[in-house]
Amino acid sequence: MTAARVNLQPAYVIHTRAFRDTSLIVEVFTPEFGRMSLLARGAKSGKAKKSLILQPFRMLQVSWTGRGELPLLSAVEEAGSFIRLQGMALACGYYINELIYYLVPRYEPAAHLFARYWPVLEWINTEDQRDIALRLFEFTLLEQIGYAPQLDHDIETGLPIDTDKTYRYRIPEGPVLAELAGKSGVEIGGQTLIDLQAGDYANPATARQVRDLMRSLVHFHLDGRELLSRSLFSSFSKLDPQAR
Amino acid sequence: MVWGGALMSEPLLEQLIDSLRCLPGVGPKSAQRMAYQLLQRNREGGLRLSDMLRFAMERIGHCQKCRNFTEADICRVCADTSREQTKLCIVESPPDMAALEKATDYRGMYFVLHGKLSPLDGIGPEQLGLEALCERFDSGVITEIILATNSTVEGEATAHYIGELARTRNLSVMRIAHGVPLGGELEYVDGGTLSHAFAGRTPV
Repeated sequence: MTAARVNLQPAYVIHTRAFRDTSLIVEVFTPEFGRMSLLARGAKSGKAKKSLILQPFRMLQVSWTGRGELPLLSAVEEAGSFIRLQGMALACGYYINELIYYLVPRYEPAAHLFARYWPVLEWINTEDQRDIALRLFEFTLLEQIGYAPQLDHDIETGLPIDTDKTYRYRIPEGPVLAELAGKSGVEIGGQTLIDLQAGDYANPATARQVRDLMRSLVHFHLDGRELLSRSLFSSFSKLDPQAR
Repeated sequence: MVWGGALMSEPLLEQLIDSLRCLPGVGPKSAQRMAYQLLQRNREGGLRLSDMLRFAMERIGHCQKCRNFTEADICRVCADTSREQTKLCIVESPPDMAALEKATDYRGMYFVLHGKLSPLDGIGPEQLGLEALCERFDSGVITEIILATNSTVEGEATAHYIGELARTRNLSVMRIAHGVPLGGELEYVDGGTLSHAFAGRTPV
């Protein structure tokens, strides 16, 4: 559980919802406390409207007091720059926030993932190979929550991955040689598994297979929940085909 | 749960107090105070309130054109033929529309979304129900769209989405400006607003 008073903890707002007339319940993502909720009392009123800066995709520092489920936000400050995501980049940003909202546990340190959050936002804002940015983030997130994908050996035989063979990834356990796996799992080449270990996404075949694998893994951990940012993403790409 | 527990066992009174709690910011204690106030001091007001509530709840619906609240099929703003029919201002909620009507000299038409895109609240493009808006875009009367959604991340997402819908139909799309509030001092304006204001600077 959290300490009674925490000062200037770096944080990103994941989501806010209105509470009573002028207050907000803010879901934040922090390095030391993972995901947590804070009550921002009177955030929508007063001279210093906290709600103005309690927005997603801004680098903040928050202070709070109190233990329990809903500590009280005592101060919030801007801690750096601000990224204005639009269109596809915004849909990607929402996707990242949705992943954090549903997968990162409350009050568990997540410094590793936290360190990747801002770079991935900057990356998706450049329009260059956004999908790779998302894959890397998904990978880090699974690592952070203790479900790092098993990539270096066949889980049936225990043999190391052979680049020339085709595997099927049994969700969530790991890869099995395709001829032994039957129809279950996600097809993935040995080379792709090696590339993925090395964090190398340059090969287009790798990118596609990795996308299928990560999607299945994320879907598994979401426990059947559908992410709405995906539908936002597909409607954006329908409206503006050049944006991809 | 009713405040006062065992002392208060009049079923009708309890139901009244419970019903009053549907109002925003009214907890058990304030609901009890309201109920006693009406019963002890202002029965006439209570009756008027109940009549008005019934009338309003039964008769007020959504305008067929702008989806604002109205007791007629078409609201007053939409029925006013002296307004510019070619301009359409899109807002998130009825209070936003009221604020614009009061503060600006805009004399075009409106459309109220009654919501905004927010994946984490479970509201995607389908949940927002934009068919009525698309019908208006396709009607051929409108040539200019003014996006007056809130300047929050969700408001921006909504504006972008509707902007794209309008652009595919070759309509001119405008977004309201964001910047330093009137009477504001730069030193105290937050960084995000300031960078918006700076990016959107206008010739003097």
